[in-house]
Amino acid sequence: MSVLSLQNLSVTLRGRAIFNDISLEVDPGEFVGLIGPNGAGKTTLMRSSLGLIPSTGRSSLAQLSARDRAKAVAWMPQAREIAWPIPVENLVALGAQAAGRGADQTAIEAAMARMGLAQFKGRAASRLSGGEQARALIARALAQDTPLLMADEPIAGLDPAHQISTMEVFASLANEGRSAVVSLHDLGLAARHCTRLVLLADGGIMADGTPDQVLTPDNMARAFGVSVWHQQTDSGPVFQPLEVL
Amino acid sequence: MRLFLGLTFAVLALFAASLVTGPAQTGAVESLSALMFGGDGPLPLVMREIRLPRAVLAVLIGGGLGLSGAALQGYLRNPLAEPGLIGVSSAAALGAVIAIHTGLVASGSLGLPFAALGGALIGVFLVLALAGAQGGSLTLILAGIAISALAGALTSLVLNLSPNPFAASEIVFWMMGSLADRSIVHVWLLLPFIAVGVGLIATLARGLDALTLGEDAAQTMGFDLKRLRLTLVIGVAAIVGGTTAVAGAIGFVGLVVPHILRPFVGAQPSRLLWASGLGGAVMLQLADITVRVVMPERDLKLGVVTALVGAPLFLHLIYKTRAGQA
Repeated sequence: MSVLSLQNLSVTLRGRAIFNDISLEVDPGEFVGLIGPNGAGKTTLMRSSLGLIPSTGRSSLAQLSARDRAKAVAWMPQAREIAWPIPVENLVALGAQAAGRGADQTAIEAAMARMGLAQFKGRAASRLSGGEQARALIARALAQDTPLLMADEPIAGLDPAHQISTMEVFASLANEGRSAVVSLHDLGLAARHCTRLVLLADGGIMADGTPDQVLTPDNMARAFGVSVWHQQTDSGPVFQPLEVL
Repeated sequence: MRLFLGLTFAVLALFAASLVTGPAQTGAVESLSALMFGGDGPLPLVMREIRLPRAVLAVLIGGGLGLSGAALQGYLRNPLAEPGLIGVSSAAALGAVIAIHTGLVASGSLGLPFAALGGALIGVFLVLALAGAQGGSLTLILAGIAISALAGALTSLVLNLSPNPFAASEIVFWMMGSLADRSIVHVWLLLPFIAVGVGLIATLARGLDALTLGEDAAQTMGFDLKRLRLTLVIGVAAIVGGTTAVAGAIGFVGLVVPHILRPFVGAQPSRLLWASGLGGAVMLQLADITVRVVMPERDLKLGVVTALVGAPLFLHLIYKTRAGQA
């Protein structure tokens, strides 16, 4: 039973087709990295599959009621909006209270611990640094405790240690049988941590498979116009874009 | 919790103080016993027909304005939002001004409030029609500004065309807002609007909390934003339309009170709703006692006092915000 199922999804915004006829199934236990050049439609694909913008075709999540959708998927938008200086703990609690549930203190504490936020508990979230805010917002999404987590560039702006630890959190979700669909620009981290990559380019899915199958020199040249260096090492795959072709 | 107890105590204490304040010089104990147990002479009449309605109206109106200000600030995620923003108070004022101009007021003491409620009703329909069912918070702000501007222009037109200077000055004084010479009928008129408004806004508490993280996040946390916005607009319109009809335009309460109380509730929008409701009641009662104690013979207007107190407070908050950013 897949946690996300898209059939022939198409989105046209202001007369411009963003992408056409995208079909995609995400199964439990997958950590899917959504990659592609700027403007390829990664954000639009995620938002339309959630039902936040109109589309044609079918998405299993978009047809749910707001409350049922909140039980099926947690969404972390790219804009890291925190309007008021509420304490980090209360911010994470918003996720635990989603879909009309009562706040589950253990879920809140677990999510904060997972993102290394224990020492920020009482601090005003809007006054944290950008990277700390991002981690608080990921913890909020984790506290929603859904089978699927979708996040739009969650590791942008984090320092290397927190980028790696955050990717490990998503990978551990997948190990527990939950799933994550995450848009990424760091192909090196995508190569090392994701179980599956979906390459979005030219209004459709250009490649879909394991990192090795997707991150080929040919695909990278066609999608991004760059040459790459990709090597299996003792400490896992190392992938580096080299120069613009 | 201490904050809520303190504010509740302040509301009750000021309510009692309001009851014993007035031009009829009588002792506090004497006044309150006349209110509760009646008796001979004019005092029970003064207490029940004049002071009690005035004190109750101050609590209802101040509380309603504080609550709606907090709700709008939460929805728009903007500390500068205030209940007048959706244009309903301007539309209500226009209705009242037309009533004064056409002499509808003379047809009975309730001609003016009903005309104002009619204006508010038209205003809220126009705002909802202009903002559309699909739009976000920005279209609501724009629709509110458009309605405010139109109602303001028409109010100026009525003033411009007023038959004599007395009508014009009556309009201007009414627009400054006051609780003087209101009766228990005004309380009964206002009460259902406040009850509906408070009831509707109360259902929004968790949705407003979720909106702290933006509209996308709130929607995916299970909140139907279209319904939330409709509930908010109708709730705020009921409160603002009702209060403007009964007391005229009273500014700054819905703007300043949530702003002052926000740090004391950990900035949580849901908790701010109730704190601001109580805080608004405190502020308006203080202002209404002030107009009766300072210059009782000059009929100082309530809206003038709230603006005089509110504007400097607001400047102080701007100063603090700037210092915090530096």
